[in-house]
Amino acid sequence: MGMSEITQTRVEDAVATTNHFLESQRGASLDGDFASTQIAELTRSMAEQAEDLLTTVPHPQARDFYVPLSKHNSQKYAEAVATLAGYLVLVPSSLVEPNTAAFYPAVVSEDGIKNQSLRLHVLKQPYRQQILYGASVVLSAAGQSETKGIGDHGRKTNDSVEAEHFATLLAAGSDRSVQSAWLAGNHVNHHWRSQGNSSVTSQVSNRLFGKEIPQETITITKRQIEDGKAMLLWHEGMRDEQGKPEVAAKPGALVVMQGLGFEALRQSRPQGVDDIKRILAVSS
Amino acid sequence: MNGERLSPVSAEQDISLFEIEGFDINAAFQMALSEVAASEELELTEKVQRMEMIVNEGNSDSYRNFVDFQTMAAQIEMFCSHDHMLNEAMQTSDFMNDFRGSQKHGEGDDHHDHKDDDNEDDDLKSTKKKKKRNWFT
Repeated sequence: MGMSEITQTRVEDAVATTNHFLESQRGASLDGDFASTQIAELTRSMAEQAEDLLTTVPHPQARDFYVPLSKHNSQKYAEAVATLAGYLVLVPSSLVEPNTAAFYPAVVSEDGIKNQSLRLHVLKQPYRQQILYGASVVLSAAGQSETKGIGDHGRKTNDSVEAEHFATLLAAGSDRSVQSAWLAGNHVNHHWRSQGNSSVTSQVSNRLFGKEIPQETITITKRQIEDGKAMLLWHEGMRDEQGKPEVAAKPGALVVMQGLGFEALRQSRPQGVDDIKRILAVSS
Repeated sequence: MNGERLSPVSAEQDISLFEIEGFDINAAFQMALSEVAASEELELTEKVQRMEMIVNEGNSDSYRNFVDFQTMAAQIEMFCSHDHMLNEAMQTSDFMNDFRGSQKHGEGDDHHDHKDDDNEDDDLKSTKKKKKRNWFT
Protein backbone atom coordinates (compact mmCIF):
# COMPACT_ATOMS: atom_id res chain seq x y z
CA MET A 1 0.00 0.00 0.00
CA GLY A 2 1.51 3.31 -1.07
CA MET A 3 0.51 6.71 0.13
CA SER A 4 -1.26 7.37 -3.15
CA GLU A 5 -3.62 4.59 -2.13
CA ILE A 6 -4.52 6.19 1.17
CA THR A 7 -7.99 7.27 0.11
CA GLN A 8 -10.84 8.22 2.38
CA THR A 9 -12.78 5.10 1.41
CA ARG A 10 -9.87 2.82 2.15
CA VAL A 11 -9.27 4.61 5.44
CA GLU A 12 -12.90 4.21 6.53
CA ASP A 13 -12.85 0.51 5.68
CA ALA A 14 -9.58 -0.09 7.53
CA VAL A 15 -10.75 1.71 10.65
CA ALA A 16 -14.08 -0.13 10.64
CA THR A 17 -12.36 -3.52 10.31
CA THR A 18 -9.91 -2.72 13.08
CA ASN A 19 -12.61 -1.43 15.40
CA HIS A 20 -14.59 -4.59 14.76
CA PHE A 21 -11.54 -6.66 15.72
CA LEU A 22 -10.87 -4.69 18.90
CA GLU A 23 -14.49 -4.72 19.94
CA SER A 24 -14.65 -8.48 19.54
CA GLN A 25 -11.46 -8.88 21.58
CA ARG A 26 -11.78 -6.17 24.17
CA GLY A 27 -15.10 -4.46 23.79
CA ALA A 28 -13.20 -1.28 22.97
CA SER A 29 -12.38 0.63 19.83
CA LEU A 30 -9.27 2.34 18.49
CA ASP A 31 -7.83 5.01 20.74
CA GLY A 32 -6.04 8.25 19.86
CA ASP A 33 -8.81 10.29 18.32
CA PHE A 34 -8.17 13.02 20.90
CA ALA A 35 -4.67 13.62 19.52
CA SER A 36 -5.69 15.67 16.49
CA THR A 37 -7.66 18.10 18.66
CA GLN A 38 -4.73 18.35 21.03
CA ILE A 39 -2.24 19.13 18.25
CA ALA A 40 -4.67 21.64 16.80
CA GLU A 41 -4.83 23.44 20.16
CA LEU A 42 -1.08 23.34 20.65
CA THR A 43 -0.32 24.75 17.22
CA ARG A 44 -3.08 27.36 17.48
CA SER A 45 -1.46 28.70 20.64
CA MET A 46 1.79 29.20 18.72
CA ALA A 47 0.30 30.20 15.38
CA GLU A 48 1.62 33.74 15.17
CA GLN A 49 5.16 32.93 16.31
CA ALA A 50 5.30 29.84 14.15
CA GLU A 51 4.23 31.58 10.96
CA ASP A 52 6.68 34.35 11.66
CA LEU A 53 9.53 31.92 12.17
CA LEU A 54 8.59 29.87 9.13
CA THR A 55 8.42 32.83 6.76
CA THR A 56 10.93 35.39 8.03
CA VAL A 57 13.94 34.29 5.98
CA PRO A 58 13.29 33.73 2.28
CA HIS A 59 15.64 31.32 0.55
CA PRO A 60 18.11 33.50 -1.35
CA GLN A 61 17.96 31.29 -4.43
CA ALA A 62 14.46 29.88 -4.62
CA ARG A 63 11.21 31.75 -4.82
CA ASP A 64 8.48 30.67 -2.36
CA PHE A 65 10.97 28.78 -0.20
CA TYR A 66 11.92 29.92 3.28
CA VAL A 67 14.65 28.82 5.65
CA PRO A 68 13.28 28.97 9.21
CA LEU A 69 16.48 27.57 10.66
CA SER A 70 19.99 27.36 9.23
CA LYS A 71 23.55 28.46 9.90
CA HIS A 72 22.29 31.93 8.99
CA ASN A 73 20.09 32.11 12.11
CA SER A 74 21.15 29.21 14.31
CA GLN A 75 20.41 31.34 17.38
CA LYS A 76 16.74 30.59 16.68
CA TYR A 77 17.19 26.91 17.55
CA ALA A 78 15.48 27.06 20.96
CA GLU A 79 12.67 29.17 19.52
CA ALA A 80 12.15 26.59 16.77
CA VAL A 81 11.92 23.76 19.31
CA ALA A 82 9.38 25.65 21.41
CA THR A 83 7.35 27.09 18.57
CA LEU A 84 7.21 24.59 15.75
CA ALA A 85 5.98 21.46 17.56
CA GLY A 86 3.20 20.02 15.43
CA TYR A 87 4.14 22.07 12.36
CA LEU A 88 5.16 20.63 9.01
CA VAL A 89 8.55 21.63 7.59
CA LEU A 90 10.97 20.43 4.93
CA VAL A 91 14.42 18.99 5.45
CA PRO A 92 17.23 18.21 2.99
CA SER A 93 16.97 14.52 2.16
CA SER A 94 20.68 14.05 2.78
CA LEU A 95 19.93 14.25 6.53
CA VAL A 96 18.31 10.81 6.34
CA GLU A 97 19.64 9.43 3.06
CA PRO A 98 23.22 10.26 2.09
CA ASN A 99 23.88 11.24 -1.52
CA THR A 100 20.31 12.27 -2.25
CA ALA A 101 19.10 15.76 -2.99
CA ALA A 102 15.41 16.39 -2.56
CA PHE A 103 13.24 18.09 0.01
CA TYR A 104 11.50 15.68 2.36
CA PRO A 105 8.48 16.76 4.41
CA ALA A 106 8.71 16.30 8.15
CA VAL A 107 6.74 17.06 11.26
CA VAL A 108 8.27 18.60 14.36
CA SER A 109 7.59 16.36 17.36
CA GLU A 110 6.11 17.67 20.58
CA ASP A 111 8.41 15.26 22.43
CA GLY A 112 11.40 17.43 21.46
CA ILE A 113 10.21 20.12 23.88
CA LYS A 114 10.97 17.82 26.84
CA ASN A 115 14.68 17.68 25.95
CA GLN A 116 14.92 21.07 24.29
CA SER A 117 15.86 19.34 21.07
CA LEU A 118 14.54 19.45 17.55
CA ARG A 119 12.97 16.04 17.02
CA LEU A 120 11.54 15.38 13.58
CA HIS A 121 9.59 12.59 11.92
CA VAL A 122 10.68 12.62 8.31
CA LEU A 123 8.65 11.14 5.48
CA LYS A 124 11.28 9.97 3.04
CA GLN A 125 9.51 10.96 -0.14
CA PRO A 126 10.22 14.10 -2.15
CA TYR A 127 8.01 17.08 -1.46
CA ARG A 128 6.11 18.19 -4.55
CA GLN A 129 4.65 21.67 -4.29
CA GLN A 130 2.05 20.74 -1.71
CA ILE A 131 1.33 18.11 0.91
CA LEU A 132 -1.20 15.71 -0.56
CA TYR A 133 -3.85 13.81 1.40
CA GLY A 134 -1.86 10.60 1.94
CA ALA A 135 1.28 12.40 3.08
CA SER A 136 -0.77 14.70 5.26
CA VAL A 137 -2.36 11.74 7.05
CA VAL A 138 1.00 10.02 7.56
CA LEU A 139 2.69 13.18 8.85
CA SER A 140 -0.28 14.07 11.05
CA ALA A 141 -0.26 10.62 12.60
CA ALA A 142 3.48 10.92 13.23
CA GLY A 143 2.99 14.31 14.90
CA GLN A 144 0.04 13.08 16.92
CA SER A 145 1.93 9.96 18.01
CA GLU A 146 3.99 12.02 20.47
CA THR A 147 1.46 14.41 21.86
CA LYS A 148 0.58 14.38 25.57
CA GLY A 149 -1.41 11.36 26.73
CA ILE A 150 -0.22 9.04 23.98
CA GLY A 151 1.54 6.11 25.59
CA ASP A 152 0.46 6.93 29.13
CA HIS A 153 -0.40 3.83 31.09
CA GLY A 154 -3.85 3.90 32.55
CA ARG A 155 -5.13 6.69 30.36
CA LYS A 156 -7.61 4.13 29.15
CA THR A 157 -9.23 1.69 31.55
CA ASN A 158 -7.85 -1.06 29.35
CA ASP A 159 -4.48 0.19 28.19
CA SER A 160 -3.78 -2.77 25.93
CA VAL A 161 -5.54 -0.87 23.18
CA GLU A 162 -4.17 2.53 24.08
CA ALA A 163 -2.91 4.02 20.80
CA GLU A 164 0.82 3.60 21.33
CA HIS A 165 0.36 0.11 22.74
CA PHE A 166 -1.86 -1.05 19.95
CA ALA A 167 0.63 0.28 17.40
CA THR A 168 3.34 -1.68 19.19
CA LEU A 169 1.14 -4.77 19.24
CA LEU A 170 0.84 -4.45 15.47
CA ALA A 171 4.62 -4.43 15.28
CA ALA A 172 4.64 -7.48 17.55
CA GLY A 173 2.32 -9.21 15.11
CA SER A 174 4.89 -8.81 12.38
CA ASP A 175 8.08 -9.23 14.38
CA ARG A 176 8.81 -12.10 16.74
CA SER A 177 11.42 -10.18 18.71
CA VAL A 178 8.94 -7.41 19.52
CA GLN A 179 6.39 -10.08 20.44
CA SER A 180 8.80 -11.84 22.81
CA ALA A 181 9.74 -8.57 24.43
CA TRP A 182 6.09 -7.65 24.94
CA LEU A 183 5.21 -11.04 26.44
CA ALA A 184 8.17 -10.66 28.78
CA GLY A 185 6.66 -7.42 30.01
CA ASN A 186 8.98 -5.14 28.08
CA HIS A 187 6.84 -2.57 26.36
CA VAL A 188 9.40 -1.64 23.75
CA ASN A 189 7.45 1.44 22.70
CA HIS A 190 8.88 3.33 25.68
CA HIS A 191 12.41 2.41 24.61
CA TRP A 192 11.78 3.38 20.98
CA ARG A 193 10.30 6.69 21.97
CA SER A 194 13.12 7.59 24.34
CA GLN A 195 15.75 7.35 21.60
CA GLY A 196 16.78 10.41 19.63
CA ASN A 197 16.74 8.65 16.30
CA SER A 198 13.87 6.27 16.80
CA SER A 199 10.16 6.42 17.57
CA VAL A 200 7.11 4.21 17.76
CA THR A 201 5.97 5.73 14.49
CA SER A 202 9.13 4.91 12.56
CA GLN A 203 9.56 1.46 14.10
CA VAL A 204 5.97 0.40 13.50
CA SER A 205 5.90 1.96 10.03
CA ASN A 206 9.11 0.21 8.99
CA ARG A 207 7.70 -3.14 10.04
CA LEU A 208 4.20 -2.79 8.63
CA PHE A 209 4.54 -0.53 5.62
CA GLY A 210 8.24 -0.84 4.76
CA LYS A 211 9.26 1.11 1.69
CA GLU A 212 5.67 1.99 0.86
CA ILE A 213 5.66 4.63 3.58
CA PRO A 214 9.32 5.19 4.45
CA GLN A 215 9.70 7.17 7.63
CA GLU A 216 12.56 8.04 9.92
CA THR A 217 12.84 9.92 13.18
CA ILE A 218 15.84 12.15 13.70
CA THR A 219 17.04 14.67 16.22
CA ILE A 220 18.83 17.72 14.89
CA THR A 221 21.19 19.39 17.32
CA LYS A 222 21.99 23.06 17.59
CA ARG A 223 25.57 22.21 16.76
CA GLN A 224 24.50 20.64 13.47
CA ILE A 225 22.67 23.83 12.58
CA GLU A 226 25.62 26.03 13.58
CA ASP A 227 28.01 23.90 11.54
CA GLY A 228 25.81 24.07 8.47
CA LYS A 229 25.15 20.33 8.55
CA ALA A 230 21.38 20.63 8.91
CA MET A 231 18.60 23.10 8.28
CA LEU A 232 14.85 23.45 8.13
CA LEU A 233 12.99 24.75 5.11
CA TRP A 234 9.40 25.67 4.39
CA HIS A 235 7.47 26.29 1.17
CA GLU A 236 4.45 28.44 0.38
CA GLY A 237 2.66 25.33 -0.88
CA MET A 238 2.56 24.08 2.71
CA ARG A 239 -0.49 26.08 3.65
CA ASP A 240 -3.84 24.55 4.57
CA GLU A 241 -7.22 25.48 3.09
CA GLN A 242 -7.41 28.50 5.39
CA GLY A 243 -4.02 29.71 4.21
CA LYS A 244 -2.29 28.89 7.49
CA PRO A 245 0.94 26.87 7.70
CA GLU A 246 -0.04 23.22 7.70
CA VAL A 247 0.03 21.33 10.98
CA ALA A 248 -0.24 17.69 11.99
CA ALA A 249 -3.89 17.99 12.95
CA LYS A 250 -5.61 15.82 10.36
CA PRO A 251 -8.67 14.53 12.25
CA GLY A 252 -8.26 10.97 13.44
CA ALA A 253 -4.92 10.47 11.69
CA LEU A 254 -3.51 8.34 14.48
CA VAL A 255 -6.58 6.13 14.44
CA VAL A 256 -6.34 5.91 10.65
CA MET A 257 -2.71 4.77 10.68
CA GLN A 258 -3.49 2.11 13.28
CA GLY A 259 -6.31 0.91 11.06
CA LEU A 260 -4.08 0.86 7.99
CA GLY A 261 -1.42 -0.92 10.02
CA PHE A 262 -3.90 -3.59 11.06
CA GLU A 263 -4.92 -4.05 7.42
CA ALA A 264 -1.29 -4.26 6.34
CA LEU A 265 -0.61 -6.92 8.96
CA ARG A 266 -3.71 -8.89 8.00
CA GLN A 267 -2.57 -8.98 4.40
CA SER A 268 1.15 -9.56 4.87
CA ARG A 269 1.05 -11.93 7.85
CA PRO A 270 -2.45 -13.13 8.80
CA GLN A 271 -1.08 -15.28 11.60
CA GLY A 272 0.17 -12.03 13.16
CA VAL A 273 -3.45 -11.14 13.90
CA ASP A 274 -3.80 -14.42 15.81
CA ASP A 275 -0.63 -13.56 17.70
CA ILE A 276 -2.16 -10.24 18.73
CA LYS A 277 -5.30 -12.03 19.90
CA ARG A 278 -3.16 -14.26 22.09
CA ILE A 279 -1.26 -11.32 23.53
CA LEU A 280 -4.49 -9.51 24.29
CA ALA A 281 -5.87 -12.61 25.97
CA VAL A 282 -2.75 -13.05 28.11
CA SER A 283 -2.66 -9.40 29.14
CA SER A 284 -6.33 -9.20 30.11
CA MET B 1 6.73 37.04 18.44
CA ASN B 2 9.61 39.46 18.57
CA GLY B 3 9.05 40.81 15.08
CA GLU B 4 12.75 40.53 14.30
CA ARG B 5 13.32 40.45 10.58
CA LEU B 6 16.68 39.53 9.18
CA SER B 7 17.53 41.42 6.06
CA PRO B 8 16.98 39.41 2.89
CA VAL B 9 20.11 37.64 1.75
CA SER B 10 21.04 38.65 -1.74
CA ALA B 11 24.82 38.64 -1.87
CA GLU B 12 26.19 35.56 -3.64
CA GLN B 13 28.72 34.90 -0.87
CA ASP B 14 25.96 34.47 1.69
CA ILE B 15 24.43 31.53 -0.12
CA SER B 16 26.81 29.24 1.78
CA LEU B 17 24.79 29.99 4.91
CA PHE B 18 21.88 28.17 3.30
CA GLU B 19 23.71 25.17 1.97
CA ILE B 20 24.64 21.94 3.62
CA GLU B 21 27.44 19.60 2.77
CA GLY B 22 26.54 16.78 0.42
CA PHE B 23 23.23 18.32 -0.58
CA ASP B 24 23.33 19.56 -4.16
CA ILE B 25 20.02 19.41 -5.98
CA ASN B 26 21.46 20.50 -9.30
CA ALA B 27 24.18 17.87 -9.18
CA ALA B 28 21.58 15.20 -8.38
CA PHE B 29 19.48 16.15 -11.41
CA GLN B 30 22.50 16.28 -13.73
CA MET B 31 23.68 12.91 -12.47
CA ALA B 32 20.24 11.33 -12.84
CA LEU B 33 20.01 12.55 -16.42
CA SER B 34 23.49 11.37 -17.23
CA GLU B 35 22.85 7.91 -15.77
CA VAL B 36 19.71 7.49 -17.85
CA ALA B 37 21.40 8.71 -21.03
CA ALA B 38 24.39 6.43 -20.53
CA SER B 39 22.41 3.37 -19.48
CA GLU B 40 23.01 0.30 -21.59
CA GLU B 41 20.01 -1.51 -20.17
CA LEU B 42 17.17 0.90 -20.91
CA GLU B 43 15.26 0.86 -24.18
CA LEU B 44 15.45 4.11 -26.14
CA THR B 45 11.80 4.95 -25.57
CA GLU B 46 12.20 4.40 -21.84
CA LYS B 47 15.31 6.56 -21.82
CA VAL B 48 13.40 9.40 -23.43
CA GLN B 49 10.47 8.96 -21.04
CA ARG B 50 12.75 9.00 -18.03
CA MET B 51 14.60 12.04 -19.29
CA GLU B 52 11.27 13.78 -19.76
CA MET B 53 10.40 12.95 -16.18
CA ILE B 54 13.71 14.26 -14.89
CA VAL B 55 13.47 17.51 -16.83
CA ASN B 56 9.84 17.86 -15.83
CA GLU B 57 10.58 17.27 -12.16
CA GLY B 58 13.49 19.70 -12.33
CA ASN B 59 11.12 22.29 -13.72
CA SER B 60 8.60 21.85 -10.90
CA ASP B 61 8.06 24.66 -8.43
CA SER B 62 10.07 22.75 -5.86
CA TYR B 63 13.29 22.48 -7.80
CA ARG B 64 13.24 24.92 -10.75
CA ASN B 65 15.41 27.50 -9.07
CA PHE B 66 18.06 25.00 -8.12
CA VAL B 67 18.52 23.34 -11.51
CA ASP B 68 20.85 24.53 -14.24
CA PHE B 69 18.86 23.68 -17.36
CA GLN B 70 21.56 24.85 -19.74
CA THR B 71 24.01 22.31 -18.34
CA MET B 72 21.28 19.71 -18.52
CA ALA B 73 20.64 20.56 -22.17
CA ALA B 74 24.37 20.54 -22.92
CA GLN B 75 24.56 17.03 -21.48
CA ILE B 76 21.71 15.91 -23.68
CA GLU B 77 23.36 17.41 -26.77
CA MET B 78 26.61 15.66 -25.93
CA PHE B 79 24.92 12.28 -25.54
CA CYS B 80 22.88 12.80 -28.71
CA SER B 81 25.95 13.74 -30.72
CA HIS B 82 27.54 10.44 -29.71
CA ASP B 83 24.42 8.33 -30.09
CA HIS B 84 22.50 8.79 -33.29
CA MET B 85 19.73 6.41 -32.20
CA LEU B 86 19.16 8.34 -29.00
CA ASN B 87 19.07 11.56 -30.96
CA GLU B 88 16.38 10.16 -33.24
CA ALA B 89 14.35 8.79 -30.35
CA MET B 90 14.58 12.15 -28.63
CA GLN B 91 13.14 13.88 -31.67
CA THR B 92 9.92 11.91 -31.32
CA SER B 93 9.25 13.69 -28.05
CA ASP B 94 7.67 17.12 -28.39
CA PHE B 95 8.57 17.85 -24.80
CA MET B 96 12.27 17.15 -25.28
CA ASN B 97 12.28 18.99 -28.59
CA ASP B 98 10.83 22.05 -26.90
CA PHE B 99 13.34 21.77 -24.11
CA ARG B 100 16.36 21.38 -26.38
CA GLY B 101 15.13 24.16 -28.65
CA SER B 102 14.60 26.59 -25.79
CA GLN B 103 18.03 25.92 -24.32
CA LYS B 104 19.82 26.17 -27.65
CA HIS B 105 18.27 29.57 -28.06
CA GLY B 106 19.43 30.52 -24.59
CA GLU B 107 22.98 29.33 -25.22
CA GLY B 108 23.14 31.34 -28.41
CA ASP B 109 22.27 34.47 -26.51
CA ASP B 110 24.89 33.80 -23.88
CA HIS B 111 27.62 32.97 -26.34
CA HIS B 112 27.13 35.80 -28.74
CA ASP B 113 29.57 38.14 -27.09
CA HIS B 114 32.06 37.41 -24.33
CA LYS B 115 33.84 40.54 -23.20
CA ASP B 116 35.76 41.25 -20.06
CA ASP B 117 33.22 43.75 -19.01
CA ASP B 118 32.03 43.41 -15.42
CA ASN B 119 28.76 45.13 -16.08
CA GLU B 120 28.04 42.92 -19.01
CA ASP B 121 28.95 39.83 -16.98
CA ASP B 122 26.48 40.94 -14.35
CA ASP B 123 23.83 41.41 -17.00
CA LEU B 124 24.50 37.95 -18.36
CA LYS B 125 24.28 36.43 -14.91
CA SER B 126 21.02 38.12 -14.20
CA THR B 127 19.63 37.12 -17.62
CA LYS B 128 20.66 33.52 -16.97
CA LYS B 129 18.92 33.58 -13.62
CA LYS B 130 15.76 34.92 -15.18
CA LYS B 131 15.86 32.24 -17.84
CA LYS B 132 16.32 29.52 -15.27
CA ARG B 133 13.47 30.82 -13.22
CA ASN B 134 11.09 31.28 -16.10
CA TRP B 135 11.92 28.25 -18.18
CA PHE B 136 8.86 26.39 -19.43
CA THR B 137 6.41 28.47 -17.46
